[in-house]
Amino acid sequence: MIDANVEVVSEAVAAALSRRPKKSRVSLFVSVAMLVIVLALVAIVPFSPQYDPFAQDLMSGLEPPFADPAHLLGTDALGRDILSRLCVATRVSILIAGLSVATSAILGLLLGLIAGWRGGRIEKLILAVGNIQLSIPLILLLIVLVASFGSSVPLLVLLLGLTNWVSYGRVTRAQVLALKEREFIISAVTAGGSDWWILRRHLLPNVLPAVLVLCAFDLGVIITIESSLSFIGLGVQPPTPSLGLMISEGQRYLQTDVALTLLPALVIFLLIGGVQIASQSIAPRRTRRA
Amino acid sequence: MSCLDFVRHGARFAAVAIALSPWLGAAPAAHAEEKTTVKAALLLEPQSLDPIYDTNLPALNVFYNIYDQLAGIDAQGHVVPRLATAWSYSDDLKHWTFKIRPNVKCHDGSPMTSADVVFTYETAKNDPKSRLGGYLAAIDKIAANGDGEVDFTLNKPFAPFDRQTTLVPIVCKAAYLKKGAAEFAKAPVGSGPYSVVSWAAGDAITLQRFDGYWGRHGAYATVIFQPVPDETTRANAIQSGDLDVALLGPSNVPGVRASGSVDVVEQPSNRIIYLGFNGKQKWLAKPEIRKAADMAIDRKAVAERLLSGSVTPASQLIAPVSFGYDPKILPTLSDPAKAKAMIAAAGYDGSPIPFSYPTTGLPQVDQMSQAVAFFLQKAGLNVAIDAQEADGYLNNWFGDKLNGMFIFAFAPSVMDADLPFNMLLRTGGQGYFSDKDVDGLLDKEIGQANPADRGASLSAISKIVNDKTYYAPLFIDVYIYGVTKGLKWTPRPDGMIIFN
Repeated sequence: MIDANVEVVSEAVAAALSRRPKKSRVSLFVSVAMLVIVLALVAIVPFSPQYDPFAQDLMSGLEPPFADPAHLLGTDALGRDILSRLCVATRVSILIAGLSVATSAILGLLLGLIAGWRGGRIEKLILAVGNIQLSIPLILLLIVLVASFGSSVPLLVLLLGLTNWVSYGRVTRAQVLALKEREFIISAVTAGGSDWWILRRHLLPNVLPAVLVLCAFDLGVIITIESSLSFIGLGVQPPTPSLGLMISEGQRYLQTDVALTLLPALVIFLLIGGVQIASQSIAPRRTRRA
Repeated sequence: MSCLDFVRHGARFAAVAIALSPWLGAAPAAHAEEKTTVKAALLLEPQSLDPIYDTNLPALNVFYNIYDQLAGIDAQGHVVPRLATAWSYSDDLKHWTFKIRPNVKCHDGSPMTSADVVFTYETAKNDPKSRLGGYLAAIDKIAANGDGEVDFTLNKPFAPFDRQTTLVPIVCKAAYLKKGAAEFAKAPVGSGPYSVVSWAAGDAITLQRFDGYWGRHGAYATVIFQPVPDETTRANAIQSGDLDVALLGPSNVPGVRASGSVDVVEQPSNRIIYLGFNGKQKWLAKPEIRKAADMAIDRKAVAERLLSGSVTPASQLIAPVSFGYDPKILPTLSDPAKAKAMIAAAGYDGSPIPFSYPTTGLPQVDQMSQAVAFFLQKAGLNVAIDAQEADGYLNNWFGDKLNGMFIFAFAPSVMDADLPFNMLLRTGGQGYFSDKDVDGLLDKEIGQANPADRGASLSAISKIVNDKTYYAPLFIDVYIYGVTKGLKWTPRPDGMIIFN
């Protein structure tokens, strides 16, 4: 039953790799545009003279966007510049998502390679640990861990990274099991290649594209999870903003000042959408090396 | 259907929904006259329905409906007879006798007598884990005499003792002993205008009108209390008709008023929001640092701009509706330049000072705390923000585990300064300082039967608190409620929601 699910995931990933969308150039352009906006937010905004994400001015609270030249996107209830806060929040969210996805991917890749290649008891052990972890809902697990250990950026990265490796592990293992039967692998074994050499030279390059596609999917998921944690107060702590925290702070003003919630949500959309569309446009160009 | 088709259809649907939403969102006006069930929001869920163990305001709100106390407090803040029809006291204010009302029934039909009163007080006093016991330290002996009266012997003169009894809901002894404390905490039996039908943990406490009640019967047959900690959720629920009475967060008030779907009712409260200091912290032990912190905060800006006028700057640890308030004491005027100079002069080395606050339970508390913290930072203090979940925060406050500055509130339901001053200021109470003058004044005021003299002593305590800046009183709350149109309900300054 578990293998059937993994087969479905593997097939979906393989399909994504080989599909050639008719409008791949337009999609690529759109995704690049989205990501450029996010990049500008992260890299260029800090150099503007009005950049100050933490300065409060209660007299200038809740200014709408484009009303005040000093605050291009308006201010929040404490009078803080929303554009500056979006910049910091995006950085924080990208940092957390990027690092934790990298952690899960590396961990899952390693464990999946070992499980698929070695088989036997090691494989059973890794699968068992993965299954146990999967049976616990991720958000609940994170809530318990954050409530016990407090929340800081390094801790969030670690927790998100350690709890999310299982899908990478399973996809990798499934790929390895399929590759094990291929002639080039069998001939490498016959030629006397060591386990480590085969893993590095033959298996890894063939498994990597699938893992990268999964990373792209997962980036969106992790950003959403971090936003949810921040929304309920268990993610990044104030006054440091994150995209989820800005949405949480803005939601009490939804009836009167929609921009406070809409702007960070828009950035999340640009970020996740950009990465997803880009990964779909680029993936087919990678060729599989045999 | 391809992916793109789905997106197109979805977009069309969304556009239509957004266009229609102002009409979809408007709730049908509830016909309050036909209502038999009323739903009210609590800010937190009670930890227990046993008054001997939970003394918190959300629990007290439920207790006001399901139990009687010896005396009650009316909506104007006066002490009125309840389970006791009359009471008398000795000249030295140490002996009090309460006459118990005859023919009062418990919800299970058994009679409520002086034996139940004695049982409740004694159980609370004798159990060190009882939080209620903490309010009864002045009581030496309780005894029922044969004439349907209860005698209290106090270990010191206690002028507002009748007010103090309003904190003690009386439990039905027979039911309590039969069920045991653990079971009673979930399915209590009292003698109040409503009885508990069920408590679905995390969801709702359902009450039913008790038709055997001796006093004014409840206006509605069923009352449901739901814990809804989030202000915006309360505002949405009241507008959609899911709730009938809900305290609104200041930021939601303009939107709720504008929607016109419910009534918006204001009531000056007995609650003070304050900034506390842990006197054992290295820098907060210095009065200059505390005074500078007090001076750094621009209360007016926070009250008028951030909190939309739903609070007013406070000058002392009690509100105008409470006894002991001195209108001649004024709120600290903000002087950030002087504050900065004082902090520098004190030799502050920049080491971080924790700044704790609970994430729910107070109006816009996360933003209010960040605003206060920012003023302190501008004045030169390195504050380390420490946001805590509300239940854990309460336990930390009770357990003296708040290590730096902290935001909290006190709303004495007795509406008298003695209770908050004792809890917050007396040596050995919940405060972090020890001041012999304050202790002496507390001992003095409690024995003064003349209100003018007592008021003067309490005022003197407030002056010392401000002089030494043991606390920085921040704001007085105005409770603003969203209420279903036509509902038979009026607000109280103690924030208690009752329906009889």
